[in-house]
Amino acid sequence: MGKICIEPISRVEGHGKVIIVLDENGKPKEVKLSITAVRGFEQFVVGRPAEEVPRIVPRICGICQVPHHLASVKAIDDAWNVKIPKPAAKLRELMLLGNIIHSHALHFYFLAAPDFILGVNAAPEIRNIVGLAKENPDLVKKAIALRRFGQRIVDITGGKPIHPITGIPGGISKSMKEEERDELLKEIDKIIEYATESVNVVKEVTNKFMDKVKELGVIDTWYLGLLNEGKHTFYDGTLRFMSPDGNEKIDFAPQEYLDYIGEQVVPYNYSKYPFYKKAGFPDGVYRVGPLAMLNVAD
Amino acid sequence: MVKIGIIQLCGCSGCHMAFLDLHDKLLEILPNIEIVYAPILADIKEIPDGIDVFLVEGGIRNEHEEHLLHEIREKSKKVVAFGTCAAYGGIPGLGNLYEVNELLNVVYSTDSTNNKGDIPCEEIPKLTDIVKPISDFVKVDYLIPGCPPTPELIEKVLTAIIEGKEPELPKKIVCDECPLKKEEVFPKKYKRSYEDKPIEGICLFEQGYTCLGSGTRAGCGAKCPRAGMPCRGCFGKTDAVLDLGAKIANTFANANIEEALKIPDKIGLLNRFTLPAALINRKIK
Repeated sequence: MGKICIEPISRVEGHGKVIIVLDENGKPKEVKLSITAVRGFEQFVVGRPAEEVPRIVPRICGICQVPHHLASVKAIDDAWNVKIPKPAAKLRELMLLGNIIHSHALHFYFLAAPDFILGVNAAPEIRNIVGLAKENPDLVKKAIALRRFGQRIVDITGGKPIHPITGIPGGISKSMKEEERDELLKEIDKIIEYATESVNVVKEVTNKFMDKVKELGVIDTWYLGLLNEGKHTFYDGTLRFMSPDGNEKIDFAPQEYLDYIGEQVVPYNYSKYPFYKKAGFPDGVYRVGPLAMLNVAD
Repeated sequence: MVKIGIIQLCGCSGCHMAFLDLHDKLLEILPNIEIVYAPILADIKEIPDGIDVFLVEGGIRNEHEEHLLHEIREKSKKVVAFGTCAAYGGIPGLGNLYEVNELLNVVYSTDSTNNKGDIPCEEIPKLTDIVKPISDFVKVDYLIPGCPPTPELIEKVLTAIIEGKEPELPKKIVCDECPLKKEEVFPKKYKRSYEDKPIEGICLFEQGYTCLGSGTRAGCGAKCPRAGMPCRGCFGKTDAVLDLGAKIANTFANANIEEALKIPDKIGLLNRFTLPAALINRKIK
């Protein structure tokens, strides 16, 4: 029995490899994703002053640090039974949206697009953001502008563009100055234009690869998303699980997560597999992200 | 063209993001360098020989990272500790306060875990005893501190290295670039960040907030104090001292010893980003 190992997995954050176990005829028998790193945040936040946790956990991921910063500060607000002022909630939500703008531009243009635009058969030395910048500098300029704008929003609201610090229990440590607001407003129309163009680029490449879209990674899973009165939302709301066929919907409050979300340890992976508790593991494995967010919404 | 390698070991990729935060300047820099290995940005699977400058993000937490680091050193002319994790261990270094088994038991026995106590052990690299900065294993030519470093500092150091000049790091402390006004008073008591609202424009330390700016290397532009939050030391120590935590402990105690003793979680505060590079770099029984 043979084995193929693809390592490192590239153009993603984190450390991992894919192990493909082959049968006696050399055909794939089992595919395993192995996340090969663990740091132990679950351990080393224990016993620290709660308000320091939002200054520690952003390092879980340097790409999506804002959600980790905000999730932890929201958990403390809740544990201490604090209701934060409306402007603070708006600034925190804006911080999150800024991160989403950066993270989407990063994922699509800097990480995924080289495959679609330069072709999957282009050499790895070329099939990356540097190669893309040579092939289509105008497109990359727009990608950079989108990321810059998103990062600037986080810088203004979070105090730093990477690993923000302003979320404190009870609110936010920094207000937005009028000139900072005006700086963002001055650019927003151009950025919306770039984002709209980006959607068109995504549509184009998706259509070009429609045969792959229909067969690669097509699996049934549960879906999980955040809602506000049935409408999709990012920062605060109730959670909803939806069954793979879309018939079953289960709403719950974030505070009840332990009743609904379980995690399974598997022997070949430092990452645990989260699942919908009532469906068990592996049946209750769920996905999050844009598809899930849209599916669960009314 | 200068051949560059860049990797993330025990880090979070935030330093890679800080490099991309050069934004439009990337278009000036990228044509002059050749990125020959960069798992976060390109699919090249093997580290090639003859790399001019290798930027290493992250410290060492497992045997695989240790192995990669030695390979990187062998194949590179200059190795740069890129960011605070590589230079001083960073936040993952807080793991040094626990034995490895203790740490893994907590991670794999959380309330959410279905099969509590099953610890992964196949196909994954074994954790090292403690987190260490990369300079504990190989010769490091240059440091770019910060969690993450600022794009300006990355550009400055990288440009100097590429031009064959000796890069210079800021020699001063965060206080020297902090706009908040000092009134030369000692704090009456030490406060936790949620306990009070700081008076705007006045030094956070003098108001009683446990700001680490007085021992931390400058270079960030005092971003945290500017946003109303005390410094946590993410740029590490200056060249003038041996140990950031000891330096700050001294300052806090000199200012008000009785109150300094009441500060909660002194280890996690004073060594937040630098425990693996501290004089005492782990929990001692």
